[in-house]
Amino acid sequence: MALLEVRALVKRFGGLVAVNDVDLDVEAGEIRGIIGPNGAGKTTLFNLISGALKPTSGTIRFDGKTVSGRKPSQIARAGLVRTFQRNAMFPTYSVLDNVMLARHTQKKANLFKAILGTDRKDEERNLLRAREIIGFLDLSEFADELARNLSHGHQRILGIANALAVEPKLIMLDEPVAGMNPTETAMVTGHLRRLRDEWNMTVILVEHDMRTVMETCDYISVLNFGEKLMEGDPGQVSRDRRVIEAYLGSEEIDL
Amino acid sequence: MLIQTIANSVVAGSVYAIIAVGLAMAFGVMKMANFAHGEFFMAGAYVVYVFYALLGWPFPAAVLMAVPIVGAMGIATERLIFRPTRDNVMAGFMATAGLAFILQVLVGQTWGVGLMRSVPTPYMGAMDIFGAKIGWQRVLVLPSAVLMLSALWFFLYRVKAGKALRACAQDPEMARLQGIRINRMTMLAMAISGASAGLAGALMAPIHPVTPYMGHGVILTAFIIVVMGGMESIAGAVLAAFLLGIVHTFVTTLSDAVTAQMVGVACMALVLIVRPQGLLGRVKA
Amino acid sequence: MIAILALASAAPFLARAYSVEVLILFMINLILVCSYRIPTMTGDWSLSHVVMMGVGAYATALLSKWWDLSILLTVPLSAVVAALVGFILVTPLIRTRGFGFFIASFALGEFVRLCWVKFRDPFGGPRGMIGIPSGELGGIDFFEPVPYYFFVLVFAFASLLVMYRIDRSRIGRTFKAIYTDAELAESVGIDVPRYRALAFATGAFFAGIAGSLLAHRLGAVDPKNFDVTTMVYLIIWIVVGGTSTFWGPIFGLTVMSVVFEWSRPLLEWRPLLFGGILIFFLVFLPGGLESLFGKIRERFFARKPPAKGSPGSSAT
Repeated sequence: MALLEVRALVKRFGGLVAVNDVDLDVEAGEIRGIIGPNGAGKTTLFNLISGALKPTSGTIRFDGKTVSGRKPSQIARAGLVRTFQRNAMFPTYSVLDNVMLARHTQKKANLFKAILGTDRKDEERNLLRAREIIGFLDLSEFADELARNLSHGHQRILGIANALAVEPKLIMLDEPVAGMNPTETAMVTGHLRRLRDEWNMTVILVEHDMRTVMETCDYISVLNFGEKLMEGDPGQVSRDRRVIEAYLGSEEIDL
Repeated sequence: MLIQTIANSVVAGSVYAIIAVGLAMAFGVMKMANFAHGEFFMAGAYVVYVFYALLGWPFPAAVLMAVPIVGAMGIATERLIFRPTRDNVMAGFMATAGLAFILQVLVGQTWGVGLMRSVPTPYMGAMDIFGAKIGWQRVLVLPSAVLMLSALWFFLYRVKAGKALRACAQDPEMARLQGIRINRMTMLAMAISGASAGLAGALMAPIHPVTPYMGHGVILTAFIIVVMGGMESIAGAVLAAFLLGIVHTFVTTLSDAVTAQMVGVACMALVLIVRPQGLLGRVKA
Repeated sequence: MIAILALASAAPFLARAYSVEVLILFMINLILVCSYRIPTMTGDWSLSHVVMMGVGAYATALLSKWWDLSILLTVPLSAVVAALVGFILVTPLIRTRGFGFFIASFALGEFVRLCWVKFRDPFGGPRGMIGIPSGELGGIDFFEPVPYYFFVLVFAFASLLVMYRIDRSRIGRTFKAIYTDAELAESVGIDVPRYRALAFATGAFFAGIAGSLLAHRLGAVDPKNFDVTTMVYLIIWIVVGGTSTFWGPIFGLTVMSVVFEWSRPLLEWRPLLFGGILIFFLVFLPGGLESLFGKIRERFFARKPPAKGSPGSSAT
């Protein structure tokens, strides 16, 4: 059984069918790319899986439980965490505080414990883990820096750190290397591979940048006009005529 | 009895519509509401009091005077309060709460606080509709509302400035790119908003107790309507105004005015639970 | 902290009877203004907060008149009632955000207030209720201002302490995170509506304490005491002080209380002054007086390299 199972997913906006009958199986420990030309329904699919949008029909099962129709926060606590295209961080908090905030979901906050200060043990454990996550993503030297003072690349990586703080089984990244220079891009893709190899993390990558997808992903699903066009490993996808035509029909592609 | 209540509902709905449309439109363009909207209504009533009851002008002339005077107050509010606080939604709204205080004090100190000002009814007698009696003063509200709403519709859909105003309400960024000057538009919106509140107050002056604090009850009703209608939807505000007019009138007839207000608030809470975007509000994509 | 407490304890013996009354009201307002900050931490500016205070006051009136409960019980019970009513009100409110929340909370608050006006039994109708006992404890009659002042002081101190702990706790930080970026907070598993409801109900709880203490002092409750005019005064305090730190509202209340006492000779013109102050602050100093301190600190300590953002700067 796959970690994430999407079955016959449909999303309509009025008369427009943004996602039409999409099936998707993502296995634990893989890096899955989801690509497609502009307007193919990538973002809608992303928002459906993360719970920001409710599907018109179809089901999404994650880790054996049905999550379609749940609130984003519930899905996040179930272990499926998304990042944003924009810089997803709390700008006026330090890097460490950002990750600590995101860790609040680890235990239900209890008003009385919080007032009495008896949740200190949890907080210490959280702090240790937060430092570990920051260390893993090479952000340790900025731990006490305010998030808004970081470079663009580091802010995006902090977004990933915030997602990891929830202790997810699967993280879903929305164009994580958009607007990055090659060095920063390499840094991010390196982190993603290490996450898969060392933490056995499952990653879904919705990305525009073809090179990143081809170099990083184990398996790729291609969307076009809201439907799944094909699936395969990077080699198969880059050779597929339908994929090339879909992209040629809309924009330049650099395979 | 039933016909009487229905007729009263239509009159109440018309007044509510005139008041709420201005609030909804200002909200659409500026994403800010004017807490002193009720005080603008009060100002309209005092304009009629001064020109008609004190200076002895003809009633229609006094009512028409309320339009430029309260409209100018709207423009002043836009320039002095809303424009400097544009990037902070809450600040503009709270500042107009301060404005409400100021207007209450100024009016109260000029014309007295305690007693209500009596504005004699210019049109005596009542009209007879299928056995229902409605005072001419109230009947007058209906054509005024129709006239004002159609003028507004004509302006928004047929006149260039009105079209620009609608574009601005839908997407300020896009409107700016098309060369529409946002400052002009917010000023225009507030002028219309103030003028409509003033007009409503002026029309109601002879049949509504005129006091410096008469805005209190008005603002609550206006807010309920705007929330029910969908915040920035003008059509939604008109629809909600007539719905609330019916609810208020029927409950007032069957029970009392306090209960009517309570039922009105309950209707709003119901709309929020069932349809948070309001009756005719759009869902943000 | 100890110095302030000592000063607060000595105050009633240095002041005249009238001033002790003013000090009692100040302490009650202190609880109120701090409790109002809790929901604003999540970005929810409610216009029904003084109505929540009213719920506490009416609860006290009913509890002490019907069941003759001791003041030690009426105060916490009234707070619980206020929190419960707050929880019921916030359920539809949660669906609105920002502006809609402001307006809808106003309407729902009015609903509660109209209930008091409408139902003569038990709420006494438009004139409210009178004859609420001042309370007594161990033979000390709280009709006397000085003992009651100490009673209020204890509650004010305890309430502020708890609210300070909430501000510093991870729940407080979660509230602020929701204010900063609700969408991101939701994505990292924070149940945003639940926390907003919690903030609102917690604020209502402490507002209930303030209302209860007020009811015992005045001996009467009146629906007009909790109308939107009172609410605007509360907003003035908090706007003048600022909301980003725990101390802002306290500071704002202190300054405006002094202004209020000074402006007594203005009589009916006073709302004009306060309205003007509100507009002035919102237009020229939207961060309140506390932001002024921040600016001063920046100017004088800017020479030090601002390399390390201090971990304590998490307060937004």
